Amino acid sequence: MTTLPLSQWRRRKLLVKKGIVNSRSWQIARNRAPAYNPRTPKNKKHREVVVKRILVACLACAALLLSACATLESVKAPDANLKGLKTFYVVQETGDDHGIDKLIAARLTGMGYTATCGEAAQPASRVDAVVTYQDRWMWDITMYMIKLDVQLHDGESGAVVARAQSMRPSLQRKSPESMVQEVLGEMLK
Amino acid sequence: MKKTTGPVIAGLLVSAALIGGCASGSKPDAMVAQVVAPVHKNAGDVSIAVSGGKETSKMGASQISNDAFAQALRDSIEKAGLFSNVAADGARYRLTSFIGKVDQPTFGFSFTVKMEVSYALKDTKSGNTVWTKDINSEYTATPGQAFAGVQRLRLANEGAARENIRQALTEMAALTL
Repeated sequence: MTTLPLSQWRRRKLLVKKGIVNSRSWQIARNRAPAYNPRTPKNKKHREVVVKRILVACLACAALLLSACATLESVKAPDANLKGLKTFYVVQETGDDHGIDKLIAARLTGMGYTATCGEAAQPASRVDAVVTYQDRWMWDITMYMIKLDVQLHDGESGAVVARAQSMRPSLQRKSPESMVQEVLGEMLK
Repeated sequence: MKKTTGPVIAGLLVSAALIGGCASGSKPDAMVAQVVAPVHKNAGDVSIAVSGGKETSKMGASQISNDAFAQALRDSIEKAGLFSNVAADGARYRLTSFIGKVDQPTFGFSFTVKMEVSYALKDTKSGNTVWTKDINSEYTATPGQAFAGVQRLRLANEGAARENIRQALTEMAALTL
């Protein structure tokens, strides 16, 4: 075997690794192939392809590592009795332009309760419970609701008596209506 | 397959660098509050019960557990000298706290955590609730405090909890039981 300069050995190793040549064909290719120049259009393109592959792999790995499972949980205060609740008032979250307060009120009405909603922190007339919420949105091709937190406050004292949360990463996304439904269902079951 | 090994390894390394560590729960020591208002000391002892907290999973966001919040509340009360003693159970007064909201951001540079805790102090002798309060607090942790997101969120949690406990203790310090 002829002794090759270090740069040639590296190039051979790379080409063999990529499957472009094998050890035998290298001997022939070596004589024909021009010296490696990273600035030539062909090599530049190859480099771009490798960089693209790295980026795609980065995104795929990040997506895999960041995509958690969907969770739905609720907890209520030890002395809380949610069975007797009949009337609700939903306080609109500041800056909510998705109308989640209306969805919550509509769902509560659908569940057989009397529910109203509005921007005021307190209802005009006395209610059994005041509902507050926080909706979090993310973008992945389209906007989607990643998290919905709902708290239930005692209508008289204002103390928080129960809360529920639904978290749905991109791959397990659901419509806001469905998330409202599952959160209220879990909290008032 | 051989061709993708390099980029995949590079992807994993970059992802690991971006995510930068596992989440850890809020530490009780960092949530201990200091009361600056004059404290009205109560002769009775108190026991503490906390609910509504959440354990932290390694791959999830930092949370505040019931135990950590109860420990911070216990240490804060002892430090302020609000009651004669903080007992495990069977005390004259029972302080119950329900963590009703821990609103955490999903991403961002400065992390603001908003917290809401419902407190109730009950006289176990008479069975009367002597004090109830729903306290809201918030705290913003900046990248200057912690560069890693998981750590920044923990600091924001701890700050919101500390502020909440401080407000609760200030209110309780004004009580004449």
